[in-house]
Amino acid sequence: MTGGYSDDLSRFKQTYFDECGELLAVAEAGLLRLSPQNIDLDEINAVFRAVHSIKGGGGTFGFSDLVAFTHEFEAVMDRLRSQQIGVTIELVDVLIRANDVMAQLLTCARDNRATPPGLTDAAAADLKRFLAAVAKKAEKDEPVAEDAPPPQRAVRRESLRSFVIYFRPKQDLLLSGNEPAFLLRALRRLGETEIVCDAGLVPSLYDMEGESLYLYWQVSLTGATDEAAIRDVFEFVVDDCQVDIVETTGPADGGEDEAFGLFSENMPYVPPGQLTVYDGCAIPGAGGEQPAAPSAARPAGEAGGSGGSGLGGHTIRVDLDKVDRLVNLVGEMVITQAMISEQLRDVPPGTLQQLVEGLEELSRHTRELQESVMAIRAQQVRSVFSRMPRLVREVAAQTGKEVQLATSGETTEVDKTVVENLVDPLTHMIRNSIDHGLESPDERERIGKPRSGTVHLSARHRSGRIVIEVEDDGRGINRPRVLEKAVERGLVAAGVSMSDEEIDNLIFLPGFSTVDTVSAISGRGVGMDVVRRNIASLGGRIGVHSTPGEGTRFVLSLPLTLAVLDGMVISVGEQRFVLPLTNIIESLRPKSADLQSVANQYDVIMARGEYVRLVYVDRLFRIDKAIGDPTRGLVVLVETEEGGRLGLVVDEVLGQQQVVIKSLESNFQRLDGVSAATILGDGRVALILDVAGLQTMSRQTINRGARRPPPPAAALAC
Amino acid sequence: MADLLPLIHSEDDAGKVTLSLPDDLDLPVAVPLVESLRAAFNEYSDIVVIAATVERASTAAVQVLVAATRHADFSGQRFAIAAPSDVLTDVCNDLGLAGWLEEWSLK
Repeated sequence: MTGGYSDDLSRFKQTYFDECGELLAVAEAGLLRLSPQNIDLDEINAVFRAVHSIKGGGGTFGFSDLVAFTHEFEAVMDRLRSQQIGVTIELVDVLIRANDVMAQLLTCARDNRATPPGLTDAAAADLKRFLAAVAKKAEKDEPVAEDAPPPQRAVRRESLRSFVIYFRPKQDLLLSGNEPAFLLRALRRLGETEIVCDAGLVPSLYDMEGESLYLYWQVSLTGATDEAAIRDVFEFVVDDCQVDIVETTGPADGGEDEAFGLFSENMPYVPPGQLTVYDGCAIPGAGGEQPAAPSAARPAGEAGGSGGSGLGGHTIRVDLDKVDRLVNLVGEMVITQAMISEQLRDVPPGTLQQLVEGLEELSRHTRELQESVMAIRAQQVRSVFSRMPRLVREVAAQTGKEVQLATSGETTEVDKTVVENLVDPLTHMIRNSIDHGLESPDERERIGKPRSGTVHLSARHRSGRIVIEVEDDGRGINRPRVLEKAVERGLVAAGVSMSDEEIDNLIFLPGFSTVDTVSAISGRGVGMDVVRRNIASLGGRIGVHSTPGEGTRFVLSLPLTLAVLDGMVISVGEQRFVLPLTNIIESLRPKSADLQSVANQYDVIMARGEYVRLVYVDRLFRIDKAIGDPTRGLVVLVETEEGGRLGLVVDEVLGQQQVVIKSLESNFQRLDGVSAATILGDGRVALILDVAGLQTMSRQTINRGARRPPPPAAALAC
Repeated sequence: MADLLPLIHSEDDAGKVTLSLPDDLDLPVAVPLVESLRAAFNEYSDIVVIAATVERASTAAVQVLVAATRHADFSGQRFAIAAPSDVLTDVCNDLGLAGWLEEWSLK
């Protein structure tokens, strides 16, 4: 039984930590938006609730260090939302640091590690300093001001409404880190209140347990508010108390008799007649310490119960492994369906018509199923974007630059794995943009730009992929300097002629850096090449576009999902390849007259009014028995995400097919020009071509002046 | 006064004891506060708690003080809260215990 309880607790703990991750993000996002110029009480409330929830759960699981620290944090947030503390830049910094400490405490708790000594000292001292300042200020204020009710929150309705609220906490409410005083104070903010405390069940001093709660409350509230606002106050304690709300017609005290009856039988209440009422405080009269006898009570009314705050929601938490198993199963189903289609391809037209039609229907359903399953794994990029304001703030502080971060397209959805792997590349690119791209405020002013630079982070769907851009309005890439450094470091030969685009792309070479002094931010030369490698491992690409004096734009293009792909199966010799459908423009068989050789290095074809470089797939991958002649085989015109075009010379286009992506890196190794592999309907492995990678390979082949092919892919495509 | 916890400092003077509440009356203080008050009621007939320096107050601690006042009523011992700080007063206001605090405050 102990084991079962322990298992249950462990599962709840995991849920708690999962939720804490989200709450930390909410708190951080709210704090980052908070400034003396931008005070949003709703946002402050959201941060308060996040901290409060973390504390509450921490109390339940006995994370005492976490609870002690978050208590301070929560207290400051409470003073902030009641406007007892003004928003200053210093305060915001302290709160952001406190959020960090809270995250570290959570990590320790999750990993069952002891809190490092002194971890919370500085942050707790800062928080206490603000609390002490509030206490000192309160002492100086006039008594009248102290008694004045706190300012009311935004008016929800013009007319005043009256309610009687019966708040009956469970005895262990305090142990979950909740503080009734905060809840009651929050109620007071909703309007004029009369709070009556029932201490009738408080045991004698010798019988009581210090950490148990025996007090109940009845609150008469009149204000421009509604029941939902009142329930919001108790949102985080719904499982730890009974809250009954009765709207009264006319003055709130008119409903008292009826309202008392709403307490359920198993939660006795002391009727007013048995209480000595002290100006808003009801305590059993002198002469006896025993709790008053419970009165007969009626069942709870319609407004009763603690589950009405909408916490039930319409979402469930599902273990990611379960979703991934589903994704894999659907993937296998797609392959099986393709295999059956392959078998039926040879059936003479007109025969097995019902089976063919049934298979088409199955195909449609399979696709819908696959899309639905993938949608489960889809996440908005907001979760990554929301981390960036903090980064910008820190890097701006470190570099002494003024930076505005603009974001757009945060709701764009992409597979969870892609989202998770975006953090590091985006972090590095934004650091780079601020550190290298943006000028100092003085320099910007001198050249007629606003003192504050802008970094724009955007996301959008395009051609079945997600395109993420990081754009700054800084000085742009200093191409002469980049080229000079590249030559200096032996990355390119001296005197070589390179286009602007090629020079810009030098920054992605391993070991490249134009910065002579290594800083904490960048300049270690281990940056953009790693970014490119990370992006490539996700099946993505990165490009850079820069205009001197105007800024630089990094463009990331990533697949929406890493599980399936719509592709065109092509053949080269005896090999089969898959080309992503999104890359293909058209296929054609040119005449000899359409082909031209450029400097005897590569061939081009005139297509759609422009010359397009031909890439012979058989030569790149050393495939025997291929046609290798575009006039006898086919040229598939393809386009990269950045708009570059290529003509791939292949033998034949076999047909369109949805394929299940199998990682080459995890099953074999990374290959140039190949993004992944798949299993075709006939059971053969086919490589999925990476068009941009093919473009790079063909350029390198030309630059080296020799056609040195990569390791043979044929060995893999069995 | 060996039974009292170090959280609370006291002075003994002919059956009367004066206890200084700690600055921090958060939840963890509630248990030692109960024990200290029990010890005080066991030994003294006149108990005064000074609440002037209370900077943080919790419902748990206030509830202990409520139990102490009820015990004083029951046993006929004297009990009073001296110079309640603004923070303690505010929390009592929030809890609907302003009248109680007023009644038990040392005039």
